[in-house]
Amino acid sequence: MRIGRPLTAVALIGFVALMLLPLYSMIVLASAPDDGDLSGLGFHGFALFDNIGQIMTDGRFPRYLMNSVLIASAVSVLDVAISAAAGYALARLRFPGRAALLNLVVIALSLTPAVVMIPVFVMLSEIGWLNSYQGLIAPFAASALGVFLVRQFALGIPVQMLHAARVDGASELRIFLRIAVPLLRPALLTVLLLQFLAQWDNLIWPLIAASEQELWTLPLALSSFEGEHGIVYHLQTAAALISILPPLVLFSFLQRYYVSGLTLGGVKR
Amino acid sequence: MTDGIRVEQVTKRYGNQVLFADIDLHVQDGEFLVIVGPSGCGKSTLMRIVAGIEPVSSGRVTVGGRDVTHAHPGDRGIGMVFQDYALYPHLSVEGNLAFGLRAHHVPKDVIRQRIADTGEALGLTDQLKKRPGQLSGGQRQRVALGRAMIREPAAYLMDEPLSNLDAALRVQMRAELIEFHRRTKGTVLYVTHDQVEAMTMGDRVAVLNEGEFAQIGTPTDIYERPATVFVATFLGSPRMNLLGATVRPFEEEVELTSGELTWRLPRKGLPADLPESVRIGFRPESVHMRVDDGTPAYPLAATVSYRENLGNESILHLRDSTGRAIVARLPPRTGPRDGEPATFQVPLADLHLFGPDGRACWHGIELAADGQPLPWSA
Ligand SMILES: Nc1ncnc2c1ncn2[C@@H]1O[C@H](COP(=O)(O)OP(=O)(O)O)[C@@H](O)[C@H]1O
Ligand SMILES: [Mg+2]
Repeated sequence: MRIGRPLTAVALIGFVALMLLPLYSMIVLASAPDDGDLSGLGFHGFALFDNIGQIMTDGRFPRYLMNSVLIASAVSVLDVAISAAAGYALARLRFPGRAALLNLVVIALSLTPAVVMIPVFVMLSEIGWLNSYQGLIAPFAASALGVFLVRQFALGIPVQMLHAARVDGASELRIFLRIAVPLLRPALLTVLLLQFLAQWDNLIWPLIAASEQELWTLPLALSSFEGEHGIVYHLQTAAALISILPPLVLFSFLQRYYVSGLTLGGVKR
Repeated sequence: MTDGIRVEQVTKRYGNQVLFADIDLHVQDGEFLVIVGPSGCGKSTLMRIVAGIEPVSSGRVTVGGRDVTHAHPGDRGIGMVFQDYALYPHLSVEGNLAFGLRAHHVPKDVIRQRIADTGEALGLTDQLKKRPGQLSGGQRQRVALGRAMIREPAAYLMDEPLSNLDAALRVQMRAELIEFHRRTKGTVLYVTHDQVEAMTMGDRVAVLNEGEFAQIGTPTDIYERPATVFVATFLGSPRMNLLGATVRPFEEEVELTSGELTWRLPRKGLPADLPESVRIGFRPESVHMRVDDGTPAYPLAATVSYRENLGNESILHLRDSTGRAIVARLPPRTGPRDGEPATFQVPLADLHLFGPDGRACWHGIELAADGQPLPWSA
């Protein structure tokens, strides 16, 4: 233990440095002045805030940012709501067809997104949802992974506790909202984060389903940055730097709610 | 509100398995009735049927004179205490107590008053803001009781509420529950597999086994006049000694033969249709060292295979001359040591006779009821 500690520290510092190096390099690039030299790893000037200001006022970047925030938020909130309800029901309510539905969820889980992309595209095109916000949101609003994750977690809610709530006279809806949802919170936050990040990084679907620039999201915009401004590395990097902020904010905000050790102390053991 | 709980002709099936068929039970108003039985006999299921958590396959359940067979669990006028408390871990004690009242849209100030009253009655006033996880086992138990009480139900259901407590706390909470019942005069249906709880807590005890009630009666009744071999051996520890015996009429008496042992019982008071082959039962505490005081006595010669000295008593594991095991319970520091032979006797009034179907046909205590002098035997 004593000998291991300094070694651990060194390894950790090395690891953190390795993780931070690309970020540092990003900041260097994003801070380069307009006519700046981009060679090497050192700063050649500090125009980060000028660059950010230019991106936020010039062109359509604010629109893309807003699209990304809107779509990622809508998708993750809808996904959490649907996963919570479906996962809880599959774990803790008795109804005909439950086993079959669970099997369907597991099957859906094993489908890779690429497999369903074309059929979904065709379906959306049929109902005229291509190039619309709903077309970017709806396909992800329910996820087999979210349902499955919540369902597994909900198996940990003691049946007796739900019975107690029934004897207390609570309706099933009240039990879901007042008992199940609070107890499922860690799982629901996990789904929220995973889905938000997945949508934040989603490039392929907006590329297919949103040809109109009005609907572009950040990944799409960043990958096409050269199209608007020529190849302007320092602006592109500054834009990328902005784009990592919202997930960071979300992370640090939700961290407070990851109350570790919310014991199920109402039930012994 | 004056009828307690009635279970009428209730049948419960799981698929093809019949858990119980057409059973009846009446818990009188204000009565503390304990259902006792081995694990898996269906005690919890019966409880859940009364609570409305489990549907009946057929039959009727009434609470306070009202048919609730198909009512929602929250509309049956019952409060329930669960085996593992089943408190809501994310809510404070207050929140746990208020949950049912809020579900029934009781006005806020009434809720506040009831929480204060209930907290005071159960000594929880200082714990109201805490979460269940911050409470001791006994406090959690009280919160569970409080949650059942606060809606002032017509009847209480308690499913092994003490089974997860350690021994000392269990004794304390047992006393608190008895005190609770004295104070509130509530109707209580209590389930346990613990015979001590059954004997000490119940106004009446219902012994459930293999889908039917083997016997329903006061603890004394059930202990002194067990209706079946099952009841006789399930209640009482160490369990009742049982020996096979044959019955032969012999003048004014009846002769029981078991191995090389012989007993004579007065024919008077015995059922006329006593089967030829019976089992004879007597409890360990009925086995005494023989004292030769001139009364007629039939000695039981046996050797001690081993003895357990428990401090307040000694349990002797005996073997009689035919090798049958008999257990005796004696005062501490009395009786023979390991390996020693000795002679014992059993009062006739402590004998029980069981027919081949396992049903009791005679209890020695009937002799005492007749006021006859009690001859010794065995
Ligand atoms: N949902 C169910 N499906 C099938 N069998 C069940 C179900 N619930 C309980 N049982 C069976 O019913 C029997 C009685 O269970 P239970 O009422 O919990 O017994 P106890 O409380 O007396 O220990 C057990 O053998 C159990 O396997
Ligand atoms: Mg049980």
